[in-house]
Amino acid sequence: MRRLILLLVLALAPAVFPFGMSVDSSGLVNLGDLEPGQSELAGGYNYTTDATVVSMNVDIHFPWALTIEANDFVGPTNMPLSSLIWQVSYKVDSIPTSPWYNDIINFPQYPNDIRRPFTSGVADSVINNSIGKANNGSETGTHILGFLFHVNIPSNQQSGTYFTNVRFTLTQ
Amino acid sequence: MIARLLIGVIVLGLSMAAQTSQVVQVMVNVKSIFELSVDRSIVDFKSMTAGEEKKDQPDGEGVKVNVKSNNGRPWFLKISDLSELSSATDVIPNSQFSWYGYPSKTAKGTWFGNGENVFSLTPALAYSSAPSEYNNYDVDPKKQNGTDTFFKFGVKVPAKQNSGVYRSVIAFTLTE
Repeated sequence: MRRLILLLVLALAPAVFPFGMSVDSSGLVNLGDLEPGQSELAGGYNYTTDATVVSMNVDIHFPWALTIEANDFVGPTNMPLSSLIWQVSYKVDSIPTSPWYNDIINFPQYPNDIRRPFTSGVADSVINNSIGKANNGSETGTHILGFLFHVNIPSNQQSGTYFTNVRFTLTQ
Repeated sequence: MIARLLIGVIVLGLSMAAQTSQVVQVMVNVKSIFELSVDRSIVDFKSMTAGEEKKDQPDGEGVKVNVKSNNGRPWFLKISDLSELSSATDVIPNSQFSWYGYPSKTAKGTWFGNGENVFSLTPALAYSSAPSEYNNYDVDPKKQNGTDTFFKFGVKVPAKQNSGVYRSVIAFTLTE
């Protein structure tokens, strides 16, 4: 009977980890004032201070995925979501020597790399659950991704203020 | 029995999925474009004699006035002169100074120049936009950008008019 209790605890243990996510943007990313046809990239960017930072805690033993999604802009008229592009501008990883780190670092995420429309929803993911523990022995991994958003205003867009909600979802 | 229970618990443990979401609002302000441009700054009736009347000036298509707006609201083009045609203290009254013209072929709004419009110091309605022109701005060079209207002017010099160079300033006003 004692052995059974021990095994039950062992089986449940992987579910107990500080899973979670936080976003630092105070809920609003203001891309400023732009003219029709203008790309917000024209003004340049600071790839760290302008980024929306998403911090994730995950269990390194299991696959996880961060998805990003949004809807068309809401404003005086429609502005299609295709006007908006997201980009991972930097990353910080708490377990730099793990295979997981390499998986992420190979992800196109640095300035001048790939910028993606919102039709591709998976921002970052690890699907290989055979990786080992972090060097520090922790069974959790903290990952920090900096996101930039770029907008290209359609050439005939009506003036006004437009909003869209970008949803980050972390699943494990 | 114990083994089955154990397997069930293990499967349960592995299949527990955790999920969390956070929303960030992305905002952008599209600037207002509300522009009026005129393709020339002088209309010269050249030399006229007292009692003479000239119409259809300037030659060709006339003065082209282009209006661009992306505000999505009705807009109105008005015309006036800031003073009557004057040379020192001599005046040719506005009743002798007229405007008319036509909208471009792509314009969809209403033209109010019927050919008998005399100038006034108060702006008079020349063109009102159609709903399709409430946002007629497009920076794509392949597309129509704005609405064009063309203005022409006529003057009849009174028979007893003193000689001199008479000037006035024509103003186009865009409102919404």
